[in-house]
Amino acid sequence: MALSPFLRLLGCAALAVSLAACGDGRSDPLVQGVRTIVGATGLGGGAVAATGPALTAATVPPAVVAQLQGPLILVEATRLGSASLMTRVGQNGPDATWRSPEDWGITLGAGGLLRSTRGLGFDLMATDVRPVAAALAARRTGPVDRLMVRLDGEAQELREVHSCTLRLDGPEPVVIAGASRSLTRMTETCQAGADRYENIYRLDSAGRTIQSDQWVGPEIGHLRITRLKE
Amino acid sequence: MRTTSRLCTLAFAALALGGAQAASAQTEPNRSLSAQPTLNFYGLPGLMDMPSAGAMPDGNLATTVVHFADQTRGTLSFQVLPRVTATLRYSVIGGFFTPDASPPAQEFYFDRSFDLHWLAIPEGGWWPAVAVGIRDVVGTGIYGGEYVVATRHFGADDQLAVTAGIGWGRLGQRSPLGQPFGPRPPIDIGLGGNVDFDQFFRGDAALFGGIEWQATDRLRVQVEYSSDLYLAEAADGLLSVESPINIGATYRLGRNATIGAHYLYGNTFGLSYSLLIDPRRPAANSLVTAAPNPVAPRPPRTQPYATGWTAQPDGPAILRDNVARLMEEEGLDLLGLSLDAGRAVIRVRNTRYQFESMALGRAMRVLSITMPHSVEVFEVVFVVEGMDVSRVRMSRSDIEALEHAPDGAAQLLARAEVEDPLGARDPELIEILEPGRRFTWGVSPYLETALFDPSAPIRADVGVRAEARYEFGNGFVAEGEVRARVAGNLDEQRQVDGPVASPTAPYPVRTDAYLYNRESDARVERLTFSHYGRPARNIYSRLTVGYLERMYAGVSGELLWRPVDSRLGLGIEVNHVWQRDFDGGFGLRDYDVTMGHVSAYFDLGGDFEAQVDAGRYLAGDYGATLRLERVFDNGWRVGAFATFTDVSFDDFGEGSFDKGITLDIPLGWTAGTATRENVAATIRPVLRDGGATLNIEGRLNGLVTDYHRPRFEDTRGMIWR
Repeated sequence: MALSPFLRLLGCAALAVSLAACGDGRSDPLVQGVRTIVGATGLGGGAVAATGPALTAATVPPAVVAQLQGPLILVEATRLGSASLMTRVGQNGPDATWRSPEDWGITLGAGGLLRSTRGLGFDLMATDVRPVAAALAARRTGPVDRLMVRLDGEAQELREVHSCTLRLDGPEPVVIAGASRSLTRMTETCQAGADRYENIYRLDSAGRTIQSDQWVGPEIGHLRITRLKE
Repeated sequence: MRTTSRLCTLAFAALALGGAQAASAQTEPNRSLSAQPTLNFYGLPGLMDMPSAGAMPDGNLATTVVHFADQTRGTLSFQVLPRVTATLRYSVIGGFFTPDASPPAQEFYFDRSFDLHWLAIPEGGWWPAVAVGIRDVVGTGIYGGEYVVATRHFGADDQLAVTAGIGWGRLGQRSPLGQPFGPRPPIDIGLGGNVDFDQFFRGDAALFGGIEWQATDRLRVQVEYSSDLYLAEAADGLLSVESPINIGATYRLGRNATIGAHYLYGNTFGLSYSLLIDPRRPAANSLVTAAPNPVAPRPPRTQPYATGWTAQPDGPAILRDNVARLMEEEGLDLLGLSLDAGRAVIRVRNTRYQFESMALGRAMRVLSITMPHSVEVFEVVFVVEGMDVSRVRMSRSDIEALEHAPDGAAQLLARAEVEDPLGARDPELIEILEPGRRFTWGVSPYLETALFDPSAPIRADVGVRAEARYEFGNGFVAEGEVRARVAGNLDEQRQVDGPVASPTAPYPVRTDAYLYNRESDARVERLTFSHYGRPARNIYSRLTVGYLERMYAGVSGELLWRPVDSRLGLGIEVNHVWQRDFDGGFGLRDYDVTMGHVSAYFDLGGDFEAQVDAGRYLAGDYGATLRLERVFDNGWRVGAFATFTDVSFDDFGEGSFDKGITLDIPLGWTAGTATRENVAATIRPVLRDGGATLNIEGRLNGLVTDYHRPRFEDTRGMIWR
């Protein structure tokens, strides 16, 4: 039986007085919707339709976005050469979990900051990025630390504290789903051992992160995450 | 359960692994000579024929192959401890007849040998690294030699290494300085397998040395002064040493493979190959599986959560369907669900996730999505072969609170209780039991190898096997396997070194194995009916009847005591078996024996596990087996074992006692997917009749400890994966 997104997020047995059946997560109606629509339009990176034109934030057709119900993001993993539309399948406090039709997913916390990835291999297990979120919200520049938790080849946790610096780059025109808008760009430059990487956040006037390029790790590289629909 | 595909093709597996590992995107290894020393012709840190003072990165495995002057040496080396390297070597020497011309002259001489290399003093300050090594500790002694060697590195990246050492035995042949520790007694090749303590560091001592230079990231150049005169080989006309100077170069291909070319002893060219495997670095991607279902947190609790659902008539069916659907999606089998208003218990069979914490975390999240809000306590009971092996209890609030916490994995497991499932009663308000019946089958090719046959280093058969397994539930299992050979040369195998002439020699319980290859093309590999059970708290049981293995049929019973949080286990196994007919059918021969052992299993902490078995072996001999394994958290195991029984070394024959090394490689490590399959290999220099044991599937300790507290702790990083 089909469920409303609301019910899905709260679990299958969410109704206080009576039990209800639930769909399974992988065939969540929203994820299914993405699969169907993306498949039909021949779009996409990754496993959905390798032959179609690459799916990017700038070129994702507004019609596709309009057809899909509920919150929607596009996640481009440039180094892996794949891009996926993701719908929200979980919400735990400020942290929203998003999933693609190919069954990989990410969790975004306050400020749109990456909390974890799943299903990519070399996943980011968890982060503590509260100082970054606070600085972004206040558009504050300067030094900021972040904690990244990864697994080594024996599945043991590696906890790395990266020292970063936030700077305000100013307004930047960004094209999303064919429409251009002006966003404020902030850049976080981080030192992780011998690696150096940058996270870029593009914020709207309300302070929400509309598009970001966030670093996952040396194997996965960056994810470009774009909010297409609230 | 650890599903095992038996494959004894170590070399092939190693090559395949190395290839895959080389292809994966990983950071370049340290180019320094000290961090990643060159492996010499004996598979140990060194130059070419000479050793140096170094160690591979801890836990690394390496295989090397070198060929020069009609001899080929293949090695398997393991960095057992940060400063201890062990290597097992198999050599094929053309036209070499051994010093005392026995065994009888043959076209090729095959030799197995084992070395130990200890980095006694690491390099520091101005002080060089110092290593002590013993070649051919328990073998026939043809490579016997000992050394003390020092190496000092120079340069910002340790790109220059200067080595000097003193050697005995083979390494004490050129321009000896004298005999500092007295004369070396004459070599007693005998049966091999004896530790020749009286030979070590005795006799002539001589100096050797060399220089190695890391020319580029991939190219290394070596020059050495060898103290080995190859006296025995020279006597057989294999090699005449004209110069002590050897020169060579090695070039690293990809990440792990190295090839080398060498000009040796003034007149000979040699080629070498080495391959490093680091079990800590998966060959494939770290692990790609579908993302888990997220936690579904409850709305804040402003008043007690309603419990009216417990009276809903279709409630049990809805809950069961919801849980079953999500569990199936996660690849976990649901065997039962019982709950009341505050507590839910599911019984789970994990046939998918090699990291048990991953199965645990996913099962808990399924409960968080499906359970009514009033259910605060979640319990997952893991079921293996029908046995409830552990109960993990978590608070739902913890699961909700820690889903995205940076130390969520550690905290969740620290707050979890892991206990014997028999220690608590399940809720009885709603109880749904799934039958747990399961039928699995498969048809696949197989490759079977025999290493170190007296007349060929490796023989192999390929064929087709069909397996089927039916789980009746409640611990009853029927399973069988038939094999049909398609091609190969195992039937040409001969009995190892012929029968032992002694009248007190044991019955040929294993040396008859070649007859099974010779007399059957198709066979029933095994056909058994088993029961697994939980007779009491902390106790597990197994009873197996039928065709237990290729050579024996009968009855096997086992009891194991192992608390869920214990690093110690105690077991007893008793078997009565009859030898099977050579033709692979259902017939039996007239040899039968009652045998078995008591066992102690120790988790030594760190990465080591030990097992001691004492009892009666297949030939009716009494004795004990000691087994030591290095266990990696990702499922790799590298072990060694030795068995001593009342069969005398003379009656045992070549090798003197049973011993070998074992290797377990999880397929998930090579494939990067979630699977509990692994590849297991046992390498014995020689398989004889003393200290022989049964090859039975389903021994208890390996089955149950996978879901005990120490294993969850070892894999806890995967709990939110």
